[in-house]
Amino acid sequence: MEERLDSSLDLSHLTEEEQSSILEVLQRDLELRHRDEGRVRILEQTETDPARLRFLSGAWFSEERSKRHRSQSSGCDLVCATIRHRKTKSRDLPLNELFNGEREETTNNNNTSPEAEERLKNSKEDEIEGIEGNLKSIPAPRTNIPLVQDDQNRNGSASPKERKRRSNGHSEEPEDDLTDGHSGDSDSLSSSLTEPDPASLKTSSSTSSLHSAYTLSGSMMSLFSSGDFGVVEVRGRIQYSLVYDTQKEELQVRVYRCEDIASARKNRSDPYVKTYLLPDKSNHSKKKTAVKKKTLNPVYDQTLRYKVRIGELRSRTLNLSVWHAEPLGRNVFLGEVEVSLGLWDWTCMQPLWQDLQPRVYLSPDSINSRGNIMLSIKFIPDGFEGGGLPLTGELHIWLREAQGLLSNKGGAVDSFVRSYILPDASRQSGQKTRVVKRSISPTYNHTMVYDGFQTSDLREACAELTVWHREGLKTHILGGIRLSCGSGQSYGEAVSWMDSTEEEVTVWTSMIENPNHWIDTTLPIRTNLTHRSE
Amino acid sequence: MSDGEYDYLIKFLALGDSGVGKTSFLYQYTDGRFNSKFITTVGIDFREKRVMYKSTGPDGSSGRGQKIHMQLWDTAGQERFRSLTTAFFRDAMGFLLLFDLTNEQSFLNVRNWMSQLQIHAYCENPDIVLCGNKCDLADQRAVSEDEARELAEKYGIPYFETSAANGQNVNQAVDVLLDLIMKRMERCVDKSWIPDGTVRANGPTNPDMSEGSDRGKCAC
Repeated sequence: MEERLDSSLDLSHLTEEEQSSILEVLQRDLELRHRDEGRVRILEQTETDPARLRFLSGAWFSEERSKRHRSQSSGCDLVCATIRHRKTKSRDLPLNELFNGEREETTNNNNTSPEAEERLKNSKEDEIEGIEGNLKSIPAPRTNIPLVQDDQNRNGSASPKERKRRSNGHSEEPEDDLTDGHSGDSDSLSSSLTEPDPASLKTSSSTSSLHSAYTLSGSMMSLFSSGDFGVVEVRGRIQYSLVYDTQKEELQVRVYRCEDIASARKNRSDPYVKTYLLPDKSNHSKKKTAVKKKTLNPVYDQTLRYKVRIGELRSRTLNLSVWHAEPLGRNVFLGEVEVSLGLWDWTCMQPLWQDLQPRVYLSPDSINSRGNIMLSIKFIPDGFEGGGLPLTGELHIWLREAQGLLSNKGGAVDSFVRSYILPDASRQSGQKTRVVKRSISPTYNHTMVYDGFQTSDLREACAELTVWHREGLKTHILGGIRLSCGSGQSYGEAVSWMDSTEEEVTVWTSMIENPNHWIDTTLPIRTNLTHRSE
Repeated sequence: MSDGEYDYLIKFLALGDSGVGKTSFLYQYTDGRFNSKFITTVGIDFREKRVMYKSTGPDGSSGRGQKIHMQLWDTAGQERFRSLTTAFFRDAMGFLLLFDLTNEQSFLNVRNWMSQLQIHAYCENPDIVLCGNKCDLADQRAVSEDEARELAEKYGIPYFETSAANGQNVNQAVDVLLDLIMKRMERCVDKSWIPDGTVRANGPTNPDMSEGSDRGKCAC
């Protein structure tokens, strides 16, 4: 039951701490409601008088309420859904005016930029990773109550502190019983299956320097991990399938089994499978199956679920790793596979076998892409709008969001985007978004407008957008894009920064050829922007 | 305590300006304790209490004791939480509207809270009890009992002068509210039972109010 968001409910001004505090209260309320629902279910069997049942069960109240409030949802469900989605809508003005004379301090509100308010699209969708993870199951339909409770059992004991991501290291905590309520439903697992390769690997500029998706992702993993995992020689394979439920906005990772895995101890392993949706290495991205004792061919038949939008998934890599559960001491790495979800064919939902891979270390410099940037761009030639407007050509860059930002440490970052229209690299020419805090996929929703252009200028110019991440007082560049005709020249001179990739050139020329038309694009954030002298 | 062993789950909500004593009031009610330190409520919170309710029939006879599990929602008075807290109004069966007897503005804002309730509550005429809190601070009083009672009468709701600090009238106020809810239900369960001479405890005084139309308003 995904709640329809109440358009007047704007909670974006609340701090993250406040929101998480509120969500904790809502979770307690949910537990109370579940217990009450249990009581009512019993009542429905035992109470013979329907009128009395209406009152004992509280139906009298919810029926009356639904006459006034269209949806059956409670305020709690609404608030919970709102906090989780954090859509910014217009502020609730009437209430502010009503209550005069209250001398209360109001902490500063994150007012969205005027451009954002013009757009009716997703505004600040700052993913609160920790909150989402812990309480993702809250707006669950009634029929799924068992699942909700299981998820809560799994996460319920997690205090707010546990939500903090572990920045380094792959420290393994002792295994609890972490069974997910549902099992994979396929019966035909016993026979070996044919292996269609659903991941249709297209070569694109972002992956051109890679041998396969796995190599890149292996290095991404290794960036963040510490400690040695090479104790055991990796062998065997894992069978899994991926299903995306669009209605629930949920990725279901169905882990079936493993075959012929390495033994961590004398001829035995107690394996479990762990998944991450990289580059998020926080606790809420981590999911595990149960541990199967003493087997090198464990059968799990478990589904691990991620509540995530399909758009978000495209920038993620699913990592499935197999580990031996060692009750005293560190768990032992038994191999992994990584799947670049941007290349995944979601129509294929069949189980698939893949050989487990060892971990490969590559230097951070070899990372080609630091995520994607999603934007729309348009050029309005002078006079195009009629009546002599605009006076000069205008370049509009609507910077929407970045996806899957990959910093050296991994995890959520504070980021912003800076833009220049080269060759003008003067300070005045530079524009930048505000800093979006703590997000791997920040929504900037910021429009930059540059004017003073003729169409002919565009062929000599380059829109350079760089993504920066801020750590304390320092900022580091993560990468960027350059939109231009890619000719290597500007106004007759050879320049280093006309180095656009094919994709970037396509976007730019598309924009020139379609005046006053938004060109939408998602481009990889490259790390190989040629240096230009400031 | 939070098992399924009760007859009714009753949800109340405390509202009012920041600092009037909603949290303290509820804490006094559920735990019998008072903490003078002011810690502003972050948005929303709730407490629970299990009580026994005994209805009294028109002939004064005592009905069967009912086990009530009370969920008492505590809302932040601060304006920045306003849009959040009003979203919860629809979830409550009854309301404790508090103001601070030593703060006139909080009393003047009762009007506004009432209109918010009328808009956002589950029905147009929910059960409400008005509480002038901090009556123990006699020498700081800024609102007279008379003017408060007058306002309460205008709305047709009960009024109590309470003190979360020493507990005065706290239990009584909540008990009365509970009684209103239970009676609202009971009026419907037993349609044949028309309370004789029952003071209409809710809604503005309306010459059209007869027992017949009273039943018509009931949510059966």
